[in-house]
Amino acid sequence: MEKIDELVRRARKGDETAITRLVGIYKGFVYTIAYRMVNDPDRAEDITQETFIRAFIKIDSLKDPGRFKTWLGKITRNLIYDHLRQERKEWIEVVVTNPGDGMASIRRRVIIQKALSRLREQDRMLLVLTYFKGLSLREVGKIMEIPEADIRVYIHRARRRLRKELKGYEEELLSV
Amino acid sequence: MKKNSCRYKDLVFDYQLSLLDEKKRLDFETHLKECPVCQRELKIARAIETDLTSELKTGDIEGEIIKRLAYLRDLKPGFSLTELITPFVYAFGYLTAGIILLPIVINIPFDRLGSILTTFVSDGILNLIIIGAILLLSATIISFSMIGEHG
Repeated sequence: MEKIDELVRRARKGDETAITRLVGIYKGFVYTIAYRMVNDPDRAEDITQETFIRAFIKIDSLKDPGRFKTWLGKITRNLIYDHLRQERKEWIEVVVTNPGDGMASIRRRVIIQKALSRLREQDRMLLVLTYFKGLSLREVGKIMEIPEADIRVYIHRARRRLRKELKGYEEELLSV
Repeated sequence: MKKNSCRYKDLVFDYQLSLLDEKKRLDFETHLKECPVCQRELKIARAIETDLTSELKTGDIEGEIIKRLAYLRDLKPGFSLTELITPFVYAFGYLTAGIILLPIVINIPFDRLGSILTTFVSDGILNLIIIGAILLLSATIISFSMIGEHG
């Protein structure tokens, strides 16, 4: 697999192959966060595209190419907050499924998405980033702009609030 | 104690997310072996983790992003200060060269040309505006030819 910093360097020069590779590698990351936050597949895809466009326009401002993922996460976060501020839409129940997802895992996603939706934006974002594979707590802190020393406390509180929202759904979660 | 209650229950998620330090983790693992409440809570935590760690698939957006970036790049003016000044420098150079070469071509003595120019400039602001307009027009033509060269 190509090194990310090498791809970033090539993308800076406008290399379309490198840009395509970077989008391919990180589109799932951006889309998953966006969908978890806005709960609308179409809006999540718009945010994903917007995130990459913004990233590649501003790519010269990225000082350390090795931190591309964290930097991209920050852009994603800002765009999601912008979208949420602009459009206070009613929460609609649209579930994104991956090929191979059974009914039980779809039901679990509905339950968890609903519980997430009732959390504050910051808590929701924190949990989505924390659970997402491949991000260290330090990186989560960087994306959320929360000091490293406090990040555990923030996550702990967010997780406790999520658990509260899941009260009454335990049996369904356990049955999956 | 309530059936579903354990004072360590809150630690389950921290344990699962590796937020506990070494000592707390070992203590909790010992406790976990004997506590059905925490065992159940861990199963719930795992169910949440299974869902939240799954990466959701999106469509093939790469082509669209490349297209939009190319479009935005074409729209971008992309003129630096140097690029803006250069045509004026060229235009000034051409005009000066023209003024020097003209008397040679049409055979006018240089001292005669000097007095023509002095009269032209001292005659008023209108003549200066004419010179400025010629300079601006030349610079614009040069700019367009430069854009053409750079595609």
